[in-house]
Amino acid sequence: MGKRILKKFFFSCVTIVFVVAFNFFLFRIMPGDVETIIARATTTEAVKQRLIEKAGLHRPLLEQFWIYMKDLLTGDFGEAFNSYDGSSNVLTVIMGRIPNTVILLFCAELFAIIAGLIIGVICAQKRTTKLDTGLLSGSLVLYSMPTFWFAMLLIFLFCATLHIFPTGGIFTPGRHYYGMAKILDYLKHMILPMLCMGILMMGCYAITMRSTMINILTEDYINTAKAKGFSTRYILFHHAIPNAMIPMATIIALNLAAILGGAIQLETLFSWQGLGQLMYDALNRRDYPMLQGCFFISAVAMILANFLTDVLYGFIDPRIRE
Amino acid sequence: MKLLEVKDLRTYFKTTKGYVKAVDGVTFSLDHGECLGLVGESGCGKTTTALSITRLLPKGGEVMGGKIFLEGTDYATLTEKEIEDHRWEDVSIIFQGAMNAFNPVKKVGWQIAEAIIRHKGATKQEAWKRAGELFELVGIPAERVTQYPHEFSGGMKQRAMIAMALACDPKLIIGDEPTTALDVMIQAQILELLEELRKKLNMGMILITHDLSILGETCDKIAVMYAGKIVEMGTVDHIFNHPVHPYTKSLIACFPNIESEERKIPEGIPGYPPNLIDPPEGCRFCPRCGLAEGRCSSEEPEFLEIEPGHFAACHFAGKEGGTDV
Amino acid sequence: MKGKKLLIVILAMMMVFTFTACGGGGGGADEEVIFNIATTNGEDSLSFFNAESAKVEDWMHLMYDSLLEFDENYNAVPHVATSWENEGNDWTFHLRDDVFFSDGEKLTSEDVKYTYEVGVDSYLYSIYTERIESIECPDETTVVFHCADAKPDMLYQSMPIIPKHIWEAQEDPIAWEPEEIVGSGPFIYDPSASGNGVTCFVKNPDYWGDQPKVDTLVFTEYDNAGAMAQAMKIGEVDACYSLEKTQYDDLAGTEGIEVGQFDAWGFEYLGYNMMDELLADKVIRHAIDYCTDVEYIIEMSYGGIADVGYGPVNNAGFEYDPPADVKRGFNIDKANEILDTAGYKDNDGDGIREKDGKPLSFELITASHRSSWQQATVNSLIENCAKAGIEIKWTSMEVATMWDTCYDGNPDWQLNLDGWGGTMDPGFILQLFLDWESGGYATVAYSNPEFDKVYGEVFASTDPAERAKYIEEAQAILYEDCPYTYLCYDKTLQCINSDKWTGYKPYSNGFFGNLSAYNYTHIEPKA
Repeated sequence: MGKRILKKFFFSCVTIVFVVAFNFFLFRIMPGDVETIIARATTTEAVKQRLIEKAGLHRPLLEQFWIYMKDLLTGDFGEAFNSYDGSSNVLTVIMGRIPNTVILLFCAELFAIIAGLIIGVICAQKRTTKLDTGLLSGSLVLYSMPTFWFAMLLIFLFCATLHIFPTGGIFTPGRHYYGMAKILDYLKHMILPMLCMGILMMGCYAITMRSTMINILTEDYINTAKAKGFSTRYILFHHAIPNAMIPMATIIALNLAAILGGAIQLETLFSWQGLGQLMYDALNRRDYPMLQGCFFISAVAMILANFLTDVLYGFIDPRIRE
Repeated sequence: MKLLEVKDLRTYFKTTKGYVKAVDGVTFSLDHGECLGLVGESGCGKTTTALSITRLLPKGGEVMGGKIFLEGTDYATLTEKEIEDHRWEDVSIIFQGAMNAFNPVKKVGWQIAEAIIRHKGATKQEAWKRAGELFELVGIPAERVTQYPHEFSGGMKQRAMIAMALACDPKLIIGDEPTTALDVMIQAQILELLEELRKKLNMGMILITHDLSILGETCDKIAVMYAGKIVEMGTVDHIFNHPVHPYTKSLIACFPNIESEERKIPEGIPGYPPNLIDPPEGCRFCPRCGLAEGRCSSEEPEFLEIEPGHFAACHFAGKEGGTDV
Repeated sequence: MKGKKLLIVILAMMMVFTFTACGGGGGGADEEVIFNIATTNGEDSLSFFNAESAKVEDWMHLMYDSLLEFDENYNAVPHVATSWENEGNDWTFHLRDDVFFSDGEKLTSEDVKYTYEVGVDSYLYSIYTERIESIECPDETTVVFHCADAKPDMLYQSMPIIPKHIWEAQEDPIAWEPEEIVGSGPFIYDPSASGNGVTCFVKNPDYWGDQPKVDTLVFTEYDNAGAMAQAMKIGEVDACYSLEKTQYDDLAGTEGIEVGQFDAWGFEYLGYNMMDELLADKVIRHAIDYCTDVEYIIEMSYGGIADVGYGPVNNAGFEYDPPADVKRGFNIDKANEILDTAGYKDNDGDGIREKDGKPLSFELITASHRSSWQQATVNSLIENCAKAGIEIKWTSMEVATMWDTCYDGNPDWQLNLDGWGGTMDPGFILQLFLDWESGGYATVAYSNPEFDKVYGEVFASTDPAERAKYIEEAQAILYEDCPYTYLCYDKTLQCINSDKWTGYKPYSNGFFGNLSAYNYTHIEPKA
């Protein structure tokens, strides 16, 4: 198993290198002269020149690329055109934002997986009954709902009408909280975006789980387990679900790409200052170095997640281990 | 007391078109240590009969009537929860095609141990130790209990299945075509093993198959089923050497005789089994029977003992003659 | 059994949710008065040199003081400068001697001198340093500016005074992103409560001027305009820095919320590239100007809330209204008339006029991120110009590409839609139209020595009446030359929760972002 993991890790690294190179050149071929973007409508020539030099744009392209790669290896992602959170160092800003996104997405995924699992199992068991049809249709509806519409619905319902949750942000503005109170404040702000994404993703997992479970429940070993005198609940948890996790792991890995994209929408809608919102901001201002850094981090995160899923397969499915 | 007494068992499947009468009035009995072979075409109801004992029926199947006495307890009247306790502990099953009968993501030893833990209240350690002993009993090295199903060959898997079936010292083992998917060499080994264990542990066994050659070697009694009913039942000698029912005779004749001088491929039985939702009145074999008369299509023949231990359901049973197939 | 465990986990999670929802206010007794403003812009720098947005300009007024403050009509009132004199090209300011920075150091004339000297490198504030030749500090409370001309815009200065001793000590002051801001202003930046889209300022207890009535001023960033409006309605925020039309309409109908439509210095325009062969002919520019239905454009593209304009200056009292005999307005017949007279005829019957084989067909460039609402404007122009025999083709491009394409002296473009922003000084925006090769920014290669001369007059006198006369004359020249067609003067939409708050004044340019810190220091909760 160790050899397999090592091989996968090696290929992951190779992929990252390609992503890095592609990332660099992609932004250089964007429309508009980069100099113009930096200078924008500055009135003073001196300011314009200063900004252009700061970004090192007067050097030839290949030299810029070489410097870029070299810097990356030492962890220097360069300076952004604008400043965010009080800093214009790309790495600092991104690292500051990552925890918010990771925590939010992790909780949302967890919620989606558990809820989807439960619904999927219920559907598979009560197949062809009204409950199954109802839950399946519900899941399809949820899965196809646009994020922004659902987010506004949640905000309208929970914030404007019921006054339970805040309309956005990470902490309550202007107040100082410490310790437990701070964590609670954070959670209070996180719940709505988490539910938004979680409920939408839940639809996807419920549908997958349902069809996976339907297939599994027709397998012979389920019959064997039944013949051994185990209850339905026991069979579900010890025989069916462990097998269902194999295709589920694939779906989760695939969803990670969708989630990273959806995170931009989600974070913007809830003013949740994470990586997604940073990307949206940087995009609006055509801040290429920042975007480069963000895209790189996203790509690495995706590759890492896929790698971890691969490793996870080895634990879920013993047939792959050799 | 007999080990198993089945009286007038009816198991129907509910479909949108009506009830499929898969098992329609089956009666037989089994003693401790006795082996009964259930034989017949696909769809004749032999598997359903056996599975009805512990109510392991697929969706839509229900035991509609009859009695199933296992050592005096009528299983037909038990609740689902009660029967779960009896499963595997009193009656275990060796499934057809062990390929998929094992859960691919769980160790084989675990799958044996879980039954022991559930029914015998053993600890994990005790259960796994017992699993190792069972492996030895069926001829697999005990260390292999920690392996996964995909690491076993076909024959080994079947042995493992037998080990699993023995886990809780059942009184009755049902073998549902246990050797159909195996090659002949291994088939022989498995059957030998089953015989050995059966004698040693004094277990009753119901062997379901459509391979007559196996029956001759392992069974004490044979029941021939057709269209949800037993058409003839008797000892191996009765069935092979003095078959009475036309269906039985045709069935036996379908098997090529290695000792015959002609190299002739025998004819099959023309026609198809009847529709079990709406079975025909009278004898169910009538449409395909060479001896059929007027009575056959209107009056259902009774299941009668024509000689000690030899039962048949045919209007011509006991008479001379028969087909010359 | 696993099923039960799962149920317990779910119930536990639900309980956590409910607790966090109801709780979260556990910071002890909050007697603090907090004023929360929702903003929509993205992140920005807090550096005097690198800050870019109007929002941060406001923040500078919170953290720092300037020489002057302004009343709601933008008349200068004493602030750090108690009095001032102007003699020829020299301005002398007398400072208070009781102004201290938050680190205890006194604010002196040296700080003022330093600020104006390094201010040339500041993105936001370099405009105030123009035409100042040298600065003298005869003593701690006196500053003398020697300027290149009368510098009448000295009284429209809103320059935050930064502490020399802090910024000088930095290795590279221009690149420095300070975390703690040392300033003399009514509020102090609170980095511990800021971050994650929230910028927090606490009142300066030692402030020399009017003590702010709120303890904490918070700016909260909302990326979702809908959520912002909801937050406003339920009282989660107390004011909105800038609203979109839809949200404005929504909130205007809500009780307890005061909305305002405010002037914004600057204008939206259609630009004519004077380097283009055909557009160099004034007749064509006038013709297209006649075909511009500004009323319709304002209605469709600007939600009906912008003002009509005929010149670049829209500061109150300085707007240009052309006399009746030169005013053009929307008149397609007149367009056809002047084109006919000038000899542009449609000879080949395709509906487009030509002269010497060159058809009157022009490409109109817009920035793609504005296309959704500029669409109506463009379509209106296309339709109306077609009726005068002028073809307009629309090209929408990424804004960076637009900047590249439409630059001074580049002959390869013809028309574009864009806008400019101005400031308090009514003469400021005129500098756009100076000779393009030596200082102008109109980007349409405009050059008129007569205009340059009048421009000089605008800055030669400090008498508002005289300046007004020259400003009008300058705009008259521009109107005749027509390098731009002025589409409108756009407005800023803001709102405040009037149920909870009082003490503020609506300046002509807004509750906030109006270059004055008055509202921030005087807003207080209603009793």
